[in-house]
Amino acid sequence: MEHATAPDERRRRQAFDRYVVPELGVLLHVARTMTPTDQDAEDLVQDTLLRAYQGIVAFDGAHPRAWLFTIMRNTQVNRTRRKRPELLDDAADAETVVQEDGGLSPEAAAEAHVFDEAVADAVHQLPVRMAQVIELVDIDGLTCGEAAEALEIPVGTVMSRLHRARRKIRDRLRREGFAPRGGML
Amino acid sequence: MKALARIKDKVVEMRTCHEVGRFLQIYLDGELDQSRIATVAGHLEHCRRCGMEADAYERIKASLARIAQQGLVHPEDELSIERLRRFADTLQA
Repeated sequence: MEHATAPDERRRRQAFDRYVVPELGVLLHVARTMTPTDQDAEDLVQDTLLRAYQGIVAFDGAHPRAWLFTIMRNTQVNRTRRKRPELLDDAADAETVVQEDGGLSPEAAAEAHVFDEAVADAVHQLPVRMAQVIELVDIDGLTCGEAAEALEIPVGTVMSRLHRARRKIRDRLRREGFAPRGGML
Repeated sequence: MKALARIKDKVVEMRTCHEVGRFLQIYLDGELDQSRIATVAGHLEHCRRCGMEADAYERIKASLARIAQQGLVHPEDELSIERLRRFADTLQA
């Protein structure tokens, strides 16, 4: 005989697969903005997943990212209270390592590879707060509103950091020779 | 008179470049309000300098999109996400 809570459990799993699992990468990147180390970020995501799993039956399906960010923030507040660690500090810069490219024609792929390496390096060189918005908006694909929600700052601040960050990337690429005067960048 | 007209045109052009520069990234993000889109788009058609500026941002955005697909900024993410996926599976077991 089937257990009485089986349909609930099935709905819970379906909702979790639909709303939470696709956001693992984004959650990890947002967690990095709240924690000092990558290991802390991963732990924070795990705790967030646990709470999301417990609470997903009551979730109405609207704005899953905003819902998950709220859970993550509350989780982090509780974790910080429990641990009472050193006072607030920016997350440490994450290391940038570049891997190989693919997909385009060999010539275009080689060119894109060199360019992408330089862009990834430029992102790594950005001040932490600018790198955060570039990663959330331009790499993870969050809207400025979602990034504002995740970082708990006004949308206008997200946009201004984003624009300044891209300008810095462009300037750096120019200095590195990707922008010969009158050339392609 | 012709020289004066040329100077006037140049000043207008510089003002437009400055104006477009302020809104260029918002335009490229597709978030510029309707009333300004035609001005920016029209200017980019004939101003080489601003056109190149727009191309530069487009190339950077395209590169960031490739970086996103390939995990270039955080190649270690793949392992972390795999671990998190396994953790998510255990919740549902």
